[in-house]
Amino acid sequence: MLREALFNRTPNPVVKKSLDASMLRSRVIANNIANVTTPGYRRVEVSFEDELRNALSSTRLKGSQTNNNHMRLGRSGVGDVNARAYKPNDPTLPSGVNNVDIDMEMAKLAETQIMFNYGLRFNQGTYRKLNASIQGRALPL
Amino acid sequence: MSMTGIFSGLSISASGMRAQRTRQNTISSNLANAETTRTPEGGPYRRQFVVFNAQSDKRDVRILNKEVALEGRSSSSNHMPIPSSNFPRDERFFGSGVEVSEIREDSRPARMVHDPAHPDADERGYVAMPNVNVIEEMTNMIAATRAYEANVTAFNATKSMLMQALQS
Repeated sequence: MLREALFNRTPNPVVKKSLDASMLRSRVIANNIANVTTPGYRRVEVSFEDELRNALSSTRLKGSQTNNNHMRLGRSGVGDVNARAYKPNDPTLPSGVNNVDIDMEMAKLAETQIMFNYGLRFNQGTYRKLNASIQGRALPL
Repeated sequence: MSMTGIFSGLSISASGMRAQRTRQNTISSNLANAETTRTPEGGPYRRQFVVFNAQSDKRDVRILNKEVALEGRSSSSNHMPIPSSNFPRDERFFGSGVEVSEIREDSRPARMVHDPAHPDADERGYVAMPNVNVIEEMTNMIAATRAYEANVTAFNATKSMLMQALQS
């Protein structure tokens, strides 16, 4: 119960998923960049944010499972959201060789890096607060 | 993300760097031999070029599933996943970098240059020069350099992410 309250009822699970997504995305982008001159290669992307938004939205029907055998009802929980790599149906040829646009990939790489660092720092802050409250001291601002 | 996959981003970028360096080597060879009329195979030097091949990522899936005895392979997206629903789906679509599958010789005809004084000239005074276009090679060299740099940037980004994760 304590574990549930301390770790799972915090933003931690969401941050964890987001870090996983950033890591997968960095690999996918690295692969797209490595294949920037491979003829016929098709760009890969990672979908995560939309699924996470659906899982976190409060407008949908919501069911809660109190037993593992219960059927899932309504929107999926954060635990079921997984970053997924897919090949978008994109017939454009920005480089003339395949559909990898190197500038776009570079921009996405920088974005992914910043998102990853943001997630790490957020997590760090959560644990620092937790630590401070356990030790009974105030966080320096 | 399993432990086995942590450094695969680095090796993906490394494969891209290796491929572009191989391409750069063939370009250097082409430029060095732009005027070579004699080769061990006979005739003028022929332009070489690399063929890139996107690598698939079957290996990672197997490592991730090592503890599972039953192994299933889905060849269609409608197949039921075996053994479990948490089969690492994200590995399915993207590969593990790029490789140079072969280095081929350009089949374009040799460039005929009129030079009767040349020892390799034929009876009409024409010399068969390599089918290397120096300007084309220069353009390819710039493209290879830029692609290499892009891979270095991706490599550094992955590395810095891993370093940040260690430090926090």
